[in-house]
Amino acid sequence: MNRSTVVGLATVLFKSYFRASRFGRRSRLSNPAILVSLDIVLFAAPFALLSFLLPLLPPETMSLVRPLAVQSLIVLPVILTSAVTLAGILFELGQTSGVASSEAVNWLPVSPGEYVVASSVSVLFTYSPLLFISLGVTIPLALSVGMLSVVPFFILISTLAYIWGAVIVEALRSVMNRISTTLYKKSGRLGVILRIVLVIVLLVAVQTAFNPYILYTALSGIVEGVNLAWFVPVIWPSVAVVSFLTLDVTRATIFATLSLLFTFLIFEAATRLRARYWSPVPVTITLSTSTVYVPQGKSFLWLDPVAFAVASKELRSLARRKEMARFLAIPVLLVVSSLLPVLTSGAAPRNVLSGMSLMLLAETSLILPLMLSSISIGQEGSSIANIYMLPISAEELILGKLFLPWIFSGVGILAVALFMQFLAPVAAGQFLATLVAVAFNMIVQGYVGLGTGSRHPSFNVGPRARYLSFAGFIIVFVIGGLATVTILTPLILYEGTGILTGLGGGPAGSVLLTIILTAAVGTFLLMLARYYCMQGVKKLLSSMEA
Amino acid sequence: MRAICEFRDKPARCSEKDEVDIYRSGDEGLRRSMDGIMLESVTKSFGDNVAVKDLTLSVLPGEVHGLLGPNGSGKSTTMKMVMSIVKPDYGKISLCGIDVLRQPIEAKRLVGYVPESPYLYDYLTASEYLDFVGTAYGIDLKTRREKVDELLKALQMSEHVNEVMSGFSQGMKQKIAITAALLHRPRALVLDEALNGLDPRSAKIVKDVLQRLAGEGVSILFSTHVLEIAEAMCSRITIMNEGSIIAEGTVQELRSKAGMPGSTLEDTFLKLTGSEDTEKIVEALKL
Repeated sequence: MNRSTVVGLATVLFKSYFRASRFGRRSRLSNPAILVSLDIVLFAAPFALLSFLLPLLPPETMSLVRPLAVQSLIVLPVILTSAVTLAGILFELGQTSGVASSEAVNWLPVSPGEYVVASSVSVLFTYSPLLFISLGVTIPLALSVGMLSVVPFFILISTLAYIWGAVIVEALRSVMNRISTTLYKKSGRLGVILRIVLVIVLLVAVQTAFNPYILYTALSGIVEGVNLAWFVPVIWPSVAVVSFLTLDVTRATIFATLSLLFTFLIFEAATRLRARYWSPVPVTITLSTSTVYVPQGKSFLWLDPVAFAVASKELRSLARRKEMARFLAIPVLLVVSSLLPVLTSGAAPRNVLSGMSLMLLAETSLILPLMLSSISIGQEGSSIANIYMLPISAEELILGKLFLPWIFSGVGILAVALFMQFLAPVAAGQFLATLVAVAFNMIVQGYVGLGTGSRHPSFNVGPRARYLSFAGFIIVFVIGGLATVTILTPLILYEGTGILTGLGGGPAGSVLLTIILTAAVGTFLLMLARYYCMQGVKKLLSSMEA
Repeated sequence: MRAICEFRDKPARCSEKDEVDIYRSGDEGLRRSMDGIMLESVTKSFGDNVAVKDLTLSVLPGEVHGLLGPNGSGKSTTMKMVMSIVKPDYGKISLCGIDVLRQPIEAKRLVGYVPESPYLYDYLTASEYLDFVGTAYGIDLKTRREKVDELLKALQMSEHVNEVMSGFSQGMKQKIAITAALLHRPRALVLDEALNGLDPRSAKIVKDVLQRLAGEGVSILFSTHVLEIAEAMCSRITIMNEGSIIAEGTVQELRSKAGMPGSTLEDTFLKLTGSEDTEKIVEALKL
């Protein structure tokens, strides 16, 4: 193994990761020296702060610190492995093919082993802040309760577990590429759909796993079950730490050795997989068995043929690009993460669920259309040139671009509304007033999102691309948030404070008044938002940045 | 005469057949009134970098006009301005009598464009992309099917029509971009290194198609770095350097301007752009 090849390749992969990210070429983190400095700060700051604060705590609170320190020492190795693996998988799912990878290695004299080591090192470097901040928090906790002797062993084991994550990612990358290629080649359109569903499920599962409530429950389970699940390799570093803490040196040595051997095993597996699936197989995806060309293109609902063609293109973009899957996963995630703690904590009171219903609907009608519309310009990437060179007017572009955000949001809102109505039914009038408010909100947010997305697009299609500049991200959520609060004000006054309840001559009248007020505010904001959107799109179409 | 009157009133609505009739009528006055591509005193800067300086250029109907120049000379920016993709700082641009700055959508309906890099939607199949383009140009389904089938067959792409374009080679993408540009039978064509990556057979077909279209009165602005192609195809050539025109005319006229009668276009080009020291550079390279 050539050391200079490994170092050179690791540097290329590490830099390309950051430079292809949303920060672009300006990312200072692509400088290893800056990242190392950041790591030192991330370790030293919590270490110094906790070392200073913990001795100041009253002695009786130390009884709470001790179990916390023990739990941290035990679970950190597992967390590090899982976090790096998950981050690596998410990176792989989010990356646009070709970006951040060095294709040149396929024809340069680089062995699979050298590649695996270099790529693992680059992953380790990339996520190193995670390791350093974790150690910076856990070590002072351990020191404060007199566990000095375990600290060196703990650092060693945690670092080993951290390395596991990077090597596992390498093995999974080869497997995932192979599966993806096979799936595509064998099943065409079905493969495309299957992949998008799998990606959404994976993203929701990963994000749910990191939900604080779920995480707390799971970690408690790990601490309690670490000795029971000793045969699971991922647990071995934690078993070694537990054994060390209980002064069982033999067991600690065995599991530390097993952990080390496992590192070599997964490295060997990753190298063999890389050797087998060395060069990515070029994929040709045919979406129809027939070679007969059947032209499409017609009017649909309120869309003329050009706007419908734009909308169809957007749908294909959303369904076929794996990096777009996360935008589809967000609404599912939103509902799951909000409902999970309530549903798993026993019978929730009806008024809690009713309040949550409004909150969920407000969230869905804000985030879903806002997010999908604000990214719709940036996600075009360099292909935005097509929009400039074709005779597509601003009106057609707006209608085409907003069709999907509105349709998806409408379906999402309806699904959430019906689900919550099933869980905690409210009167028909109140339900209708809520639907009117969120429908207005959804339309307004679509215009706000596209208006901002066209003013502040980010055409960087690299890993974890946001398709919206940072300024645009702030602007869109400030304007969107204000619009949501304004549109929902009549409903909040009616449901939350009861101010409107006494007006309008009875319950039916007050609901009607709420609907009328909502419609008036909504119409006014809709006109404003449409103007904002139109001006943004016209400005965008006036001249392409060279 | 009906066609001529309609053409004078609304050039964008003049049919393909009417336009060919006007062109073939031999009436030079009418032919010129069809305008082609006109740029008048066009300037474009990007920050401190003046990409195009006070450029005046005309591409008459039926003319294949070559736009040559070293990298960064302003060719692509000029073409993007013609397409109203990039807005000039000063100057006037018209396409078939339509002011591209005031009526960009109308102008785009009349022109076909092949950019330097074919920025296609990689996640669409070739047929889906061509459908999208055809719909944007307002071509009806029947015509679209006929044109797409005809063009893809000619360029040997019929078998790939239902494939997602992410798997396409550079040449295949270029063929799709050319098909998209020709789909609506444009009255003007702006081709930025359009033959790049094409196999010899397809390149020959495209060159012949362009000559035929020019014969029917289509104005073609064509940039290339392959000077043999420019010499063979272009009726007039403009050479740009650092954003300005340094020479313009037929190949013969350019040779005379360079004081190199009988030389190749390559030698003429190198002389005019002041880059004739290539031999010394090669000799100095220690490879």
